[in-house]
Amino acid sequence: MSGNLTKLRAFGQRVREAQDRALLGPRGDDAVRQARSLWVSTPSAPKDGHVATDWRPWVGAVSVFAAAASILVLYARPERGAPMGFQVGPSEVPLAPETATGVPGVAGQWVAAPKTMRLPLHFSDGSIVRLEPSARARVVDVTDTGARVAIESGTVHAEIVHRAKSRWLVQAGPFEVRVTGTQFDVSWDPSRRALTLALLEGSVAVSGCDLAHPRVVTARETLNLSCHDDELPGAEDTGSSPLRTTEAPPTIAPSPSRAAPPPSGAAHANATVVESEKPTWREALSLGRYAEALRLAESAGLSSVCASSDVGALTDLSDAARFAGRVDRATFILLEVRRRFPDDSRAATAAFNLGRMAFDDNEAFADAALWFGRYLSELPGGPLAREAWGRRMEALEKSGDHAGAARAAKGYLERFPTGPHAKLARSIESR
Amino acid sequence: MAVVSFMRSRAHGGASARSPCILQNDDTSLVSALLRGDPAARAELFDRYAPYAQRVLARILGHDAELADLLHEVFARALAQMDRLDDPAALSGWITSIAVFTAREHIRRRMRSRWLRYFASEDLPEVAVASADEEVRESLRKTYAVLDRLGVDDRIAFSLRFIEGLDLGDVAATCGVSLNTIKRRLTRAEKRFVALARREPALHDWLERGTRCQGT
Repeated sequence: MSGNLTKLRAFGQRVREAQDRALLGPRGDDAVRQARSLWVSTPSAPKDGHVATDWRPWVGAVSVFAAAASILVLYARPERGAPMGFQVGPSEVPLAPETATGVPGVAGQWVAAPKTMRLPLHFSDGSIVRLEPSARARVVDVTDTGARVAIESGTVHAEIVHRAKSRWLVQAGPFEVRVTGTQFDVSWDPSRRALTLALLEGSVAVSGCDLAHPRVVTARETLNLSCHDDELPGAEDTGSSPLRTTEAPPTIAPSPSRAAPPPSGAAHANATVVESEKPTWREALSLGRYAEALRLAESAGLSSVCASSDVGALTDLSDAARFAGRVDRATFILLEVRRRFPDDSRAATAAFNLGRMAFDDNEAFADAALWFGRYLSELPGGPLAREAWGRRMEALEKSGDHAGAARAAKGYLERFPTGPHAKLARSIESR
Repeated sequence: MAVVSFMRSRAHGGASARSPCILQNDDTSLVSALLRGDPAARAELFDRYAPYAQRVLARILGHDAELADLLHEVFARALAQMDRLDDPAALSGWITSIAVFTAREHIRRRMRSRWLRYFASEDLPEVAVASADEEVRESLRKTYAVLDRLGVDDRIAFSLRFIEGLDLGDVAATCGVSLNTIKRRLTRAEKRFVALARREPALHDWLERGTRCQGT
């Protein structure tokens, strides 16, 4: 190992020197200048500084909806002091080459995450409320100690920074979730009027609908509630909600997806709380515990999980498998994505991923070329097209199909003459 | 504090437009001014430490299209938590730790995203190493591609130890863990990195030439 250490020290020195040369180069301080520009343009009071987010490309992530809602809200009762700021987006996934910045958030406006991307709301105290794909919500108001956020539909992941006077309120339909400092996922399905709350850290108190008393939910618990009462509490916050009221009496029904009995002291007999001895694979994944996420999915039966999960969940799970180094499992899951959801654009992305794994992990270059080609045929103008063109050319070359590589090189240069594979393409084409 | 000495040892060689000889009193008065909400202190904080923070981020992440955002985030976090800094003289080390934490969060966020991983081509060090030749560019790209396959904590330990060149104590202090923990992480990271790097032709030369250079 001492030989390795010697090598690695020298290796690291080379990396360091190359980086330092770049940082001292003509554009080496671009990042500093950009960051400084933003820094000096933001408020000077320490507590008001926006935490920078992504300036990178994002596509139509923010939508303002004057319409209606059923809601999830993170709330803080107004107190003295300057309110926090927050910034919407940009989406965490760039799909367009143009550079875009996040936009300052405006309390009261609805925002929506695109179908395939998450949309983060960054608060100046460091808290993050991340809308999962297709989720819609709005920040109702913000104070110096927290915020109130309403969710119309979908899943939101919240990471609330704990401070002594933190006061956040999450409202989903008729339910309210009071938060101090914690991490949790909350989903609201307005069609079923169903709330799912999975605590990752800390604790929260849920009230609303027919709950006689606030229900405390602690870490690793998952709470499922559904409510048929459409008389929403806090109606002034949900005045734009499109939900229509019904004449059904207020009830809380157990979620069909959970069967565990409610804990003692439950506010309502029909509410369901599941105390997990260990997190679900989704929770483990959200915490970056990829091997554990995969193991939990396997414990639940990987085939069963693949048969019952939606395309987004399966894509996440395939990532977990890859990050855990289980290429075989990732391949299995991605093939299931393509089999079950052939018309979804993520099936094409799955093809790309299969190509990457064939190339990088298995060195099966002919297979990789086929998968990259499949991606390009299914999504020729997709966000990974440039990479797919380049990778396909590289895979063909490595597989020994030099004629095919030359054709791919020509095609690549026609489309991406300055792309990252352009040099290789020229060398192949000029042979 | 070991980390502080690391930061200051780089103070005169960085790429900053400012290259101050940072005195302890400077940091103490700077922190006081920041806590008072002095706008000039805010700019001073950034100008004084942004190059350091940028380098820490670059060591861990390589070239990253979000570097400017992350750099801003480091200072936003620092400013928001300034009242938690017990010892103003430890400001530089504290900012280093925040930069490491920010990089860590960024890696984890990126790994959680099912898409971002596939935008690796967007993260090629084309801009950041504009002065380097193609060979160097490719070696850097492959280096960070290999690091992408390490666990985030192992990667950070490896980057700080071998790329930034910190000693073990500084790495442990910066990461906020014990020396034994860092040693375990480095052992894992070294083994994994070498195994993966040996599969990358673009890195062979650096590894082998590095050995010869070391002996000279």
